[in-house]
Amino acid sequence: MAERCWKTVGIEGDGSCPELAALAHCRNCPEYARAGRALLEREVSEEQRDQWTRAVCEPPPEQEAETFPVVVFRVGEEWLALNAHAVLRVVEAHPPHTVPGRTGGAFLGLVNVDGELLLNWCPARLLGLESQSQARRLLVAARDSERFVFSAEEVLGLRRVPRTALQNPPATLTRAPATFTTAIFELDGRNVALLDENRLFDSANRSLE
Amino acid sequence: MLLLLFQAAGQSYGIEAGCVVEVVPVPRLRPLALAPAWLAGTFTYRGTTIPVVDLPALVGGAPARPLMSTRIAVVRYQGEHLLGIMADNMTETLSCSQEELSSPGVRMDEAPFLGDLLPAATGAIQRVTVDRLLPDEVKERLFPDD
Repeated sequence: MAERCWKTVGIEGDGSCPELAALAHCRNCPEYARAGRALLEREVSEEQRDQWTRAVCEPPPEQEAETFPVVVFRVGEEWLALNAHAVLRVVEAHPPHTVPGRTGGAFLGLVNVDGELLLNWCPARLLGLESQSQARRLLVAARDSERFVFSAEEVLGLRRVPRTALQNPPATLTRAPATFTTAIFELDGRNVALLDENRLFDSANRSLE
Repeated sequence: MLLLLFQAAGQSYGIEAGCVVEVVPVPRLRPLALAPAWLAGTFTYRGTTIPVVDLPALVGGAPARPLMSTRIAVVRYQGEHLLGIMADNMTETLSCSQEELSSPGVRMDEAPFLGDLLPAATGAIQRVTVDRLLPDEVKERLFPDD
């Protein structure tokens, strides 16, 4: 194969290389890899050698603290978070179909999420917070085969939180969310309560009894 | 098993990746006075001074070339000591199974560290056993605590 063939018959050229169809991209081609390795066949400058000498002398960079993913959302004035593995997806909010005799309190009714009728709760009422104004997003959460849809006013999305950033919720907290809150953490200047998804789901189920 | 591949005196060799702590670029080495030519010197690795074996020189070839592709594998020697192995073209690894390796037929008493051969398209790859790399008298001087 010609030297720098990726420039002539490969992805940066006219794409006429017979191998290209099978490889999809020149980076999958051994010829490309060989050319890349050839870049290492160079003399090392004195400056580079000094830099390496300093680099291998120093202790290894500290491992970043272990993080875990959460979905952060807002209900009323409160910023809340759920473990990301409990959240299936976030969709646009639409008004729930009320269920006569059942709707009222925390249970809002049924919502259609991609053709599936799911139960929709207002997390503010489950948590005993002030009632929220307007739901703009629906969080679809799951525990095994159970599905729960929670209304939220705002969803920040997926965030990674270092475990070291978690603090115990204050013991003096008298409001109901304390019993659902496993930890609090700070995110961009906001205090976010990490909810225990199991307690939240249990409380949602109880509200239907 | 995973082999870290490199070249020495024009031939391909591999060491088991399990004993490799880190592959580092070649820093400035401090020569060891009156040492054999294949002991390239020492350098400070993460706060510890460790000796470096020039593998191409050890197998009887020219010393490792001063190129970017020449690197040092910091390995755990006989379980406790850190030792640097410097060789050319230390840029690739290869996954293989024990069954693919075959005996080289000839055992050189002078080079007890050279082990089985792995047939490859570009010529056989010989396995280097790190723990047998140093002759006893050199080992005693480099690691006198034993």
